Amino acid sequence: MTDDLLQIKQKALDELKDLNKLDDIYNLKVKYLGKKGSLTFVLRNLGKMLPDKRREVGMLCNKVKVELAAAIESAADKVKLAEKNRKLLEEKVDTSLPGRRPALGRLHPVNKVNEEIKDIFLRLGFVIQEGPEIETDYYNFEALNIPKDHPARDMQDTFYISKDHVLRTHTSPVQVLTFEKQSPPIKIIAPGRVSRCDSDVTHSPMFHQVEGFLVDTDVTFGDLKGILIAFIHQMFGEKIAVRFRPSYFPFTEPSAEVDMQCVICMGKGCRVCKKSGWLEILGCGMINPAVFEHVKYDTEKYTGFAFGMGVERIAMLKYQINDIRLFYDNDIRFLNQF
Amino acid sequence: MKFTYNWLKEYVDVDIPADELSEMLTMAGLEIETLTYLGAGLDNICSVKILDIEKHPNADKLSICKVTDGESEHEIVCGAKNMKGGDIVALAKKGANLPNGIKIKPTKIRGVVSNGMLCSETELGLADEAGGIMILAQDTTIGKPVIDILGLDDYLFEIGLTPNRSDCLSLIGIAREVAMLTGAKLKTIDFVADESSESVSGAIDISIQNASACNRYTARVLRGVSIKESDPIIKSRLNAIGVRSINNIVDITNYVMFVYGQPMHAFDYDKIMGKKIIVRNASDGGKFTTLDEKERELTAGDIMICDEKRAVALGGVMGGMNSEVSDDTKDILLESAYFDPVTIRRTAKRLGLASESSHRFERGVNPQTVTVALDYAASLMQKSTGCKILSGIADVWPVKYESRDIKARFARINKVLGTDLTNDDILNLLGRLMFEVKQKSDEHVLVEIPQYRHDLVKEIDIIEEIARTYGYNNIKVTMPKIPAVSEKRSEKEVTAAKVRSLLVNNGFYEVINYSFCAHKDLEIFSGDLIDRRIGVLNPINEEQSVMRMSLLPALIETVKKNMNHKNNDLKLFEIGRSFMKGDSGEIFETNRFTGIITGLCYEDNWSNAKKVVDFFDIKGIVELILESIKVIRYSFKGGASSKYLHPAVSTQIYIAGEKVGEIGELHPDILEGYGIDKKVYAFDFDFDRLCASQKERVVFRQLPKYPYVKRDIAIVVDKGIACD
Repeated sequence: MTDDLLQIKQKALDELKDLNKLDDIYNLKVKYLGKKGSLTFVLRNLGKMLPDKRREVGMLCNKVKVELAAAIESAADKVKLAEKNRKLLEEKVDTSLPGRRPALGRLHPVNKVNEEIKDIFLRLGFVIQEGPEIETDYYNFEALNIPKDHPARDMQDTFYISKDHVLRTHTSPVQVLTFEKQSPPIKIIAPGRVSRCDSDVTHSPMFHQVEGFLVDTDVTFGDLKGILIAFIHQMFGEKIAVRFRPSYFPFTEPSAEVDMQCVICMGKGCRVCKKSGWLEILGCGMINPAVFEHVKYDTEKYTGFAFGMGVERIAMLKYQINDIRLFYDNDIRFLNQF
Repeated sequence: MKFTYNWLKEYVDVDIPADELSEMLTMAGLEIETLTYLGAGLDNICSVKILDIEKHPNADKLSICKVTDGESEHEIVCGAKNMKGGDIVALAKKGANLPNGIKIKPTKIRGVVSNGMLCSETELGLADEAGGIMILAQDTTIGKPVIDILGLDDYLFEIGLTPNRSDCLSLIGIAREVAMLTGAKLKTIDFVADESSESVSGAIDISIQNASACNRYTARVLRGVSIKESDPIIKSRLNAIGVRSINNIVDITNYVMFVYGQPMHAFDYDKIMGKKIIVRNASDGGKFTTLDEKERELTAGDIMICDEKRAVALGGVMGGMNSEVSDDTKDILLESAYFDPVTIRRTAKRLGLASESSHRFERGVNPQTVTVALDYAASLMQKSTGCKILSGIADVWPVKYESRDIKARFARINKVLGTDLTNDDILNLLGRLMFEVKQKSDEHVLVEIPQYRHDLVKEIDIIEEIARTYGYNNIKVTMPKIPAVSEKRSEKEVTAAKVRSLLVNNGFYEVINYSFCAHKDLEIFSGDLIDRRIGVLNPINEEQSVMRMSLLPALIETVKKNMNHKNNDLKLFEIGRSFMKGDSGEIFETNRFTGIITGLCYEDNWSNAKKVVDFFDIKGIVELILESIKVIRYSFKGGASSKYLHPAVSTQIYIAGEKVGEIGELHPDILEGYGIDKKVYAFDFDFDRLCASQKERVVFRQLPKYPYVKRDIAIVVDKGIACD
């Protein structure tokens, strides 16, 4: 009898080995362990045995039953797992296909750079102010110490709207507009559009400037250098060399032009910097007392500095763009690079 | 302002490398824009004498020149015809690398070896055109490098001069600056003018009727000049700075102008009627023909130089045709004057006639060298022609130039610059500038300003000179000590930042278009408002002739341009100003926020449905914009009023009962005008109103306790009833 049991077990295990479908495994379970299964049959006939024999066979029978049940369960699990894995593999996608992206546009590069400039000065404690694009001759020139019939008017080719109105040629009028309304301390940047009658690879009839000015008691040329060097280092990198060169703007004195080490060749000399290793980046100076006189500031008490920079110029340097007109073509193939 | 290094060296004893000098001048405020070596490409070219010319055996148009450089003879094949035996010409030898890129090496030409090339002025980069090879003067030494013969071992400097530095519109002015920077000594210009016994007083009578416009008028009379080619040095120097040589007399007036900065004019003395020069104002509407053969209309502000009967020059700007020096001229009246800068500027500006002369007068010439320049020019003319110089200068000088003193306070200098210069430091710097100190105390210094520095008037001007001489880069870097302030970004700034980032994150590209546009754009997009347009008086072209009143035309133009590059799926926007006149002519600048969409909704992709945008895409964006900036009480009412929108697919945007914009499909007729055959949708906000509109304050609301219940209700209504 025990041999039979062991044979049944072996047979069942042998059969189980070849099964790889869940249904077959369940059928096998029924065949051996079911109500009419061969093991059940043995169990059911236990009563007919002698008590000693019954106990021995009974124990073995139970052991075989537990072992078979476990083997069947494990075989079923294996098949289930294989089935699950197969199903997962069936879901395979070609992950090399491009993704389905939510649409993403771009800010215009000029505005992107404009925002960067604003951010730097906001962190330095400046406040943003705007002025009109159509300006009076007074604010654009006269109050900035550029009287009529002064050769300095030739420095900026002006679009006229009428005898007294021009398209502002720079953002500097915001200085005077501010001084008329506020007393020092003043720490302002004025970004905006400006226009000049000029159009070629490096000149656009309309472009963007950021004007900045700071007025208080005891503001010095050294302070001007401090703020502008901080700006250039934040904009172009801490290691960029900066130099100040005497220049002339009627509304500042002393006036300077600021050069930074060429960011293309790092000062070695290239086509962009015309082999000089330097790039002109902005104009600045101590606000001319003549401007303060126009707004009745006490020129003995207050000093201040002002600076102005072309946003397109900075964007061109930053992204190595060689033609200013690209900014206003608004070609998507250009815009989506930034 | 251009000059060559060798020319400059006549006036200052300087010998540092040209690039070093260039750097020094740049850092002193005289920005050198270009520095060019004039002998570039002229190595290995020397003078040779043609010994013999034979015909080329195999080519009719070529000849074989036997030439000598004094040491050896060479055979050169040449295509030119203008030379003859005995001529001295320029030979480019093996190794020469000409300015036009030609590299010279022995070459077989039609079977004959040519050991170099005889050069034309074009090939040497000296002229744009040439009628053959360059023939040098007969007395030229043979075997000498052409660089030396032509004086081209020299550098051309070009200064981008700022308008304040009129003193540097002259070689001696630049020499002064170089002396200040390097410590080099200035050289004096030595010249002799032998005056004859005849006095100038009997030859010319000068009177000035408008002394405020002509402060001084001086003249000399020269008899027996001959008009010919200029002295080679004068000619080559003028050539080098780009001034065309005309004849010895005109060239000398130009040359002296560049040396001293004093413009001069030479009249044909015999054409001056009545031996009289009268300086007076022009009369309105008068006509005058200038040297360039153009008839000019005059106004009362112009300075006229007249003889007894008629005008002979437009004072300070340009001479007249009627008194021009010609080949037959025998006697010369040489003018050197001081004209009022503003008067000259007005005339030159009005007539669009900016000459080297007006350029200097309007910036102010040196009153101290008016007659020095006159004498120098007369002496050069005498040297050139052997003419007689009548004794004395005819000089009428109604308005004397007063010298100016400026007081500068030591403490103020340091206060503005942030330096701690001692009084002695400052006095030293003033010394380097060659400013005379008239008086000094512990607190201040009184400086006499040289008369050539018209730009120095106030204390701050002296401070700038001190800073410039001290060196901007020697001033210590500091940070301003200014109280911290706390200020918010304006509502407009904040709103702009929000909507821009919203649109960019929803696939929109930001564009920037010009603030001006074409008149036809207004006709289409501005309707009746066109009467309130603002024109530009001097536009570059018609496309930029009037200030824009809407951002849409340029956006549609942008769409069109991109479609030309096969980019048909576009979402674009711009925030910018539009311009309009008010009832009484006042100018309004309004910020507008305008967007446009066309083409596919989603990126054209292997799996996306190719759905094309429609009205509800643009409306959805508008709703998103409004909600992102927390506008709650918005609504859409009726069809749009703008004629450029589709009458049935458009609506107006309201916030709290106020119209803030419109959305809709662009009218097919409009698009047809642009050659666009696809549907395009746009929104257009009055951005200022959008920013000013009331925003919802965000307050947390409790979450509902129960899940929501969905009910589907269908109601049948007439087709004409709107959804809301």
